[in-house]
Amino acid sequence: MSAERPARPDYYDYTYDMFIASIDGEQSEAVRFSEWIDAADRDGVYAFEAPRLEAQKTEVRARRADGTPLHLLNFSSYNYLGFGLHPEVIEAAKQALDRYGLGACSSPVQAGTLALHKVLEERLIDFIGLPDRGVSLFSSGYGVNTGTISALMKRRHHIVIDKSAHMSILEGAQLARSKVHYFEHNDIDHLAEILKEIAPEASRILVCTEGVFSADGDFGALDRIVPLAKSYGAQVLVDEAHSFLLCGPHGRGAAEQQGVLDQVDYLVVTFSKALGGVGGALIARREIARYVNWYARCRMFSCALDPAVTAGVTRGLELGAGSDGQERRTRLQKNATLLRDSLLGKVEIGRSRSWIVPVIFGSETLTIPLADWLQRHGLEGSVMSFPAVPVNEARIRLFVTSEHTGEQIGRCADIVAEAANELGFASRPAA
Amino acid sequence: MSENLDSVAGLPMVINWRLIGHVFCTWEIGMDAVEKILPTRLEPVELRPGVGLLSIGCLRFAKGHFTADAPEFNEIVIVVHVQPDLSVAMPQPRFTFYAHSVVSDSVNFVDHEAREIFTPTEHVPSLQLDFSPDGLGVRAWDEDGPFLELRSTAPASAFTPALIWGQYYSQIGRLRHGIWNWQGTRFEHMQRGDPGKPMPHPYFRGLDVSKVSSCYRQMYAEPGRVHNERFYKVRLLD
Repeated sequence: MSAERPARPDYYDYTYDMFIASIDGEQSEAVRFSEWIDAADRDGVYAFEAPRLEAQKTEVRARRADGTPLHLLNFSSYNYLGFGLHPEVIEAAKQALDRYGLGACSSPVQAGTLALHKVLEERLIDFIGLPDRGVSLFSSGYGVNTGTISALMKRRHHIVIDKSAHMSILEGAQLARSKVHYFEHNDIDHLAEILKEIAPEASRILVCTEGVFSADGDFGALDRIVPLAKSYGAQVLVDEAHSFLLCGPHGRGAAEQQGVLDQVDYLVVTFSKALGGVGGALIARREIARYVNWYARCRMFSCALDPAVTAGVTRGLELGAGSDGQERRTRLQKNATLLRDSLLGKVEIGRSRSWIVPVIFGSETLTIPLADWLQRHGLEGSVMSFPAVPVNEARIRLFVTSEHTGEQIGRCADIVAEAANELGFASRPAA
Repeated sequence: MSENLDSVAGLPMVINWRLIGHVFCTWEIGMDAVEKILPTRLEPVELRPGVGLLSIGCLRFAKGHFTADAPEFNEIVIVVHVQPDLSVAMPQPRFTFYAHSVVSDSVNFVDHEAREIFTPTEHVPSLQLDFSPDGLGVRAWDEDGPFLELRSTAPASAFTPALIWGQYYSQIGRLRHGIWNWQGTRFEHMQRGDPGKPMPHPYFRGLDVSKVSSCYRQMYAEPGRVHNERFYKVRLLD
């Protein structure tokens, strides 16, 4: 007996499934994963990991593994305000490199703390406008969540997490070994239900959410979540990775925009997005920040932030706090609105209200061909597929920056619309 | 491209079931409940820290299995999701289950399962399944009371053809491993909402169903068509 199968390779059906491991003793999952990449690569459709040949500008040269040169409209970088390339930022980094050398060469609680780090801490407090807070710097934004949560939460505590929260929050909860609960994305009633159940017996409760969610580009409902959590005696962690320096009257983020900044217990910011560097920080009560400095294991047992990045990020923050930052934020909002408006009616963009614009193309089987098609037509976004997002809701995320021009945004929208027509995911006109 | 489905990984097909009704729903469930029922060798799928996956399948088999005039019959299968054995030379398994509990109103089916598939199958003559005419819902009950009432949470449906490969483990005394595939036309989705939850029932055999939380994924086979579910020769793991 035989059955006809669609004429497409297996890797179209199986974008690598992050759940899959194997019970055998030989790491067969690694072999399968490798075969998956090799097969796509052999057919010339593997579009991931194409090395860039220059900085993360709005248009960038890159190269496929097979040597194919690419010239890409870059809608896949988090350099939202362009500070990663700002001449003053680069100059500050160069000066720090000359003065302090390549690395901090020690843990921050030992010899790795540099004068530069103390300056960055002060600038962060000044910027955030909460002088009673302290800062704990981390060499990775991911580490801020894993380190902070596991330092502060223990076995008998409760952590309540938005289901769409970032992996670093989930992993922090796992390391803490606390009792973990999940509420439906931004669902206040569901959160209340959980808090009501655990509040009477819990000695410590932490509610974790985000400023802007990276899969959908929507905002956390902080103006409702924070007061609700407080009413049950819970503390709140807000990850502002994709919103710090990008929104709010002073650019302090989604918590400022929604009027709850001073009620957030643990504000998590990253330096790899709006500041175009790497690393991140926890901003919390001074004694908490000091405790986390020592008890966040991934901080204590890692090298401190490197001098060049620290100085560059500090300069970017200074610029972001001033009129330059305000202008860039205004341009960012305008560009994001322009891209969303340009795509509306042509493709499905979900509930995005920010500079992250997901184009939901649906079937996972399109992931490989679409990423390949877009790259070959001069556009790079960031592909997400099941299980990172629900089945049949695969998407390509477009990250808008303040530095994109109207022409580039128009070209991006045209390429996406052409892809939608060619690959069959264009929005159907309303009946 | 065509594919030979008579055997896989050197293992011959032992049965090709013809299904005329199939609803398969997956819920999130506390990992503590999953770990209590799993053989130690198996690794549960952990969707998020502390969250595993439980699935329930309601199946109606076409007439003519076992004998030419045999009537339609029903099956309910309760499984938890576990990691596969990827050293087996087969297409990528999309789902892998530990078969925790199976019930059927067909004594022939129960005999077949015990002989060839080795799932823990119980004969329940009073088992009743009521599939909705559009295929997007099912009710299940027996003389002990209601077991499940499901209704798709998607506002619209689109049935598409699929060939899905999977693996399963079962333990009746010894741990066994098997391969299956499902071929047919189905609608799968993960849209939010409450399609219904399983009710406490003897079928769960010690699995704490109170640990079930929200629905994760739903699959409905297209009504009016015949779908196939094939099983291959089982191998011992211990």
